[in-house]
Amino acid sequence: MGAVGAPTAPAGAEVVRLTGIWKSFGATMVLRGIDLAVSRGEVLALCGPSGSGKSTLLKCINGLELVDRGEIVVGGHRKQFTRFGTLDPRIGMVFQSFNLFPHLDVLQNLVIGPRLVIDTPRKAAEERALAYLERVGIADKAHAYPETLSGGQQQRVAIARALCMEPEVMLFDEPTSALDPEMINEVLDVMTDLAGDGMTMIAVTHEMGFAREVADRIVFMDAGQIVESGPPEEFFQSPKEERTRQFIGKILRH
Amino acid sequence: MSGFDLGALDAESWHRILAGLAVTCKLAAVSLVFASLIGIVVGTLRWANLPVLRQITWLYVEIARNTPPLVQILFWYFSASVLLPAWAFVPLRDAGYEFSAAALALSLYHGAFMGEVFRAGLNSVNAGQFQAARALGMSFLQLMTRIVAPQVARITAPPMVNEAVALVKSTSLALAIGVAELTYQYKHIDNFMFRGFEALMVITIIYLTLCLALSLFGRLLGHRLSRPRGSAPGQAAA
Repeated sequence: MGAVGAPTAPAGAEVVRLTGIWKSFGATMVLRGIDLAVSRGEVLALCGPSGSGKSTLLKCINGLELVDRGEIVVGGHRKQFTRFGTLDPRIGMVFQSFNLFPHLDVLQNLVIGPRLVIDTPRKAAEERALAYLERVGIADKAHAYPETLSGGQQQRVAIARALCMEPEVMLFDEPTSALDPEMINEVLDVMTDLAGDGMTMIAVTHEMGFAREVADRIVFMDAGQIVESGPPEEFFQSPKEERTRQFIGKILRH
Repeated sequence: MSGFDLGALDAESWHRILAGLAVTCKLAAVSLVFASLIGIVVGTLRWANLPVLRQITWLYVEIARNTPPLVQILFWYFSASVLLPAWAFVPLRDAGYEFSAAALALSLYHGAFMGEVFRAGLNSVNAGQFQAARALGMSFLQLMTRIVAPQVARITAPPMVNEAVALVKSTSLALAIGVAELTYQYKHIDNFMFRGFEALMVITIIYLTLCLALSLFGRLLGHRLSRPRGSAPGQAAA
């Protein structure tokens, strides 16, 4: 497998540190004092009922959402985001609804970021794009347009697009929630493969199988707070908090 | 009734019709350029929903859309002497500003409609597109020009061309302030050469041809933009 983005921080070092994050939408308090640190190479699964603030928290890390209060440090740099400001290209993001650019073919979707943002020469950008397409298993679709691809294929393209920026950390916002059941695994396989290669990942997910098998740590959020955090076996087998037990009871019933 | 006889139009009449066509085309072209610019700026401002600018652009669009274009042409023509100081107005009057007043009025009138078309086009671009482009590290300008603009162009091309057709037709209103465009020349031929019916037929056919050609262009453009270029698999990317 090709090399994942050249790390600037040594293994085990902190890639993301959030301190005292508060965030509200109007009168609704969405995040209430979140502290979270993610080390290089760590795979973190962010779980919780809908409305618990996990997607918002994820978007605060790369500045798509602005925090009211708190400190965000990524790769050792304290982040000051603004509403229209340019975001850090080394924080990759994959969205629930893929968000591929419909007017560009797959290869162009992958090349436009490196070309515009980090001035990569066209040839180098295309070679890297094709390598990542190979890696997510759809090299044959390089010249197809997004609308002609299945949801699973689109999401794999979206992952490759983020990887082309050689990110230090990848954020996944419910990457399989918009997919038909038979396509979920092809996306989870790519994510598992990435995790195995040492990519630092923070994934908001409802896929408990993935969380259990692949994540190093599960963070459970409810009502804008981190309720519990720990390794998967501990989280599933001996949860400390009552709210965690209720949540696990609900999702594992079937 | 003397009957329809195109041969009855003399050389001067034909000359007048051609001169009128030239003025009509020039007025339409100038107004179209400015209306489009106004439309893009106003549409973007309305979409961005910025304080103060939101109210100003709203007021402009509502006034421009809800008063007759003929009244707007008369307003800009006859208000110049009141609105402008004498040192600015007198040279303008001596040089003749009928054309400028008509172009200004038509640009403002159609610019308001184009602004709404453009705003709707921007609204139709999914919020996820902005998020994805920003997450890749694109600047605001890059995401607007490389990601948003191509998608907006695809959606707004047909209604923008419709508005251009409407604009070509509105140029005939400029006869009211003495702009020597096509309809003005018809009136002249009718008044002084008594060949109004023939001249009217000729200018009708000219307007029809202009507008049909523009509509056809719009349809071709719509077809071309409605599918991403080279969407067949295996085709080389640009």
